[in-house]
Amino acid sequence: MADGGAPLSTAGHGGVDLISDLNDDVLREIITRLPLMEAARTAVLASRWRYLWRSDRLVLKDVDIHEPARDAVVPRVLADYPGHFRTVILADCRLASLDRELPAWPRLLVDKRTEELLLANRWVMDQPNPARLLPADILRCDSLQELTLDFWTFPSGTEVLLPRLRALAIVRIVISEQELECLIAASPVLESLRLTVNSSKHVRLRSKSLMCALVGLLKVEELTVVDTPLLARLFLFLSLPLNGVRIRIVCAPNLRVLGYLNTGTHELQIGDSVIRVHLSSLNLSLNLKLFHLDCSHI
Amino acid sequence: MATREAGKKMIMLKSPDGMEFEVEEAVAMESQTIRKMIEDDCADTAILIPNINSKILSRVIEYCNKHVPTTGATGAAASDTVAPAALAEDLKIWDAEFIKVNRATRFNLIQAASYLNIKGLLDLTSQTTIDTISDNSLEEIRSFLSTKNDYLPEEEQTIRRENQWAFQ
Repeated sequence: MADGGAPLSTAGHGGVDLISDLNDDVLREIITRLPLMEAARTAVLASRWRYLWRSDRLVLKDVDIHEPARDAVVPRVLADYPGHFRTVILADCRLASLDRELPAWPRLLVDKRTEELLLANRWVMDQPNPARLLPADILRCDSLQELTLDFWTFPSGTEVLLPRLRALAIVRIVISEQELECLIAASPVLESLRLTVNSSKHVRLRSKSLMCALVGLLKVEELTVVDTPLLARLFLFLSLPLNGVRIRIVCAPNLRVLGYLNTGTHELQIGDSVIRVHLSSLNLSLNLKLFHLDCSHI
Repeated sequence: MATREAGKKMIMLKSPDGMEFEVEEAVAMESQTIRKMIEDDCADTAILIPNINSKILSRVIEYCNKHVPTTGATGAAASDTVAPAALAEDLKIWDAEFIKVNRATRFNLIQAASYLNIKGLLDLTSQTTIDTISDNSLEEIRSFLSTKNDYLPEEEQTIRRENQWAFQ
């Protein structure tokens, strides 16, 4: 939709080089919004563009790189990119191939000051799929602000240090209750947390900074919120009608939204009040604005 | 500093071609660059906006006017009374109309948004340009951007080899 419907090939304004009036910062703004392959292709537009695509921080989303070149291109881009990494999304590439081509990739992500990272192991149909061991370096990447991990085994006994992490999502992770608690404790500015189908049956949230938590209850037997003063929203999802979960809110004075609770099988304890099945037992001295109950099983 | 309505501070913005625009401080502060000037007390009288002509500056102000968080007569934020989704939808439609401008104006708006540091306007103008050039051939992109290929043929081949993965 160039120029309100005019065809793209319309010749430039009487040969005037409009773009040369734009400074490099503006061109960079445009390039960083292109998918990486298209951004790299701009190098051949003109000499001014040659290094422009790689003069800002890297935004690499593996799905932007076409198969079958993806597994070969990802390690090459990571290794060759001169600047820091803003975003690295590895959602659909073979990490075994990355290990082979660029064995030091976890360390590289740390050294390049990665801010947003998603690492997802690919699940291969009809094959034994043990969760790979998460490289410990990732847990000491002190530039990280957003981290999503999917289908890994948490490395036991690892020192964790994530001083800038604001958002954490851990999905299908083999992790013990203590390791999960340590991970949260090692993220002092964490605001948003999503936990989905991890191995720990007992989940304990304790954070001075956490404001929003989404907890999938599929494998969880007990969820406890202790001393989380800023927590305003707690969302529970993935609960089966038959798995009984005990939810204990010990100290979350700013909690405003709590849901969804399945009153048939969930037991909610807030302070000393215990809620089992009947809504009439709701007598809480809380400031909850929204309180969602799934009443279909009463 | 001029004041027009009680409680609303006004700021004077001047374009290099001599036009003056009186805008509410809150509207002008949609620009992080102007916000910083005001907060650093560098904006006692009029603020000269270099390199942005009056035609573009008036469009920028129009954008900021629309996007500044509004307050009603009671002082309550508009979003308390209007559903946020409806408000967002209204803005989206407005943005789509706003950006129906010719190529030169759009590039000028990108430059102005970059200098004045107005993230929403920069996103809108840059993304519209991306939507236009994405999936087009390099020749078409060159033509659209009115940029001349100044490489020698052998140079261009070298650069294509350097970035061979991107051309697969």
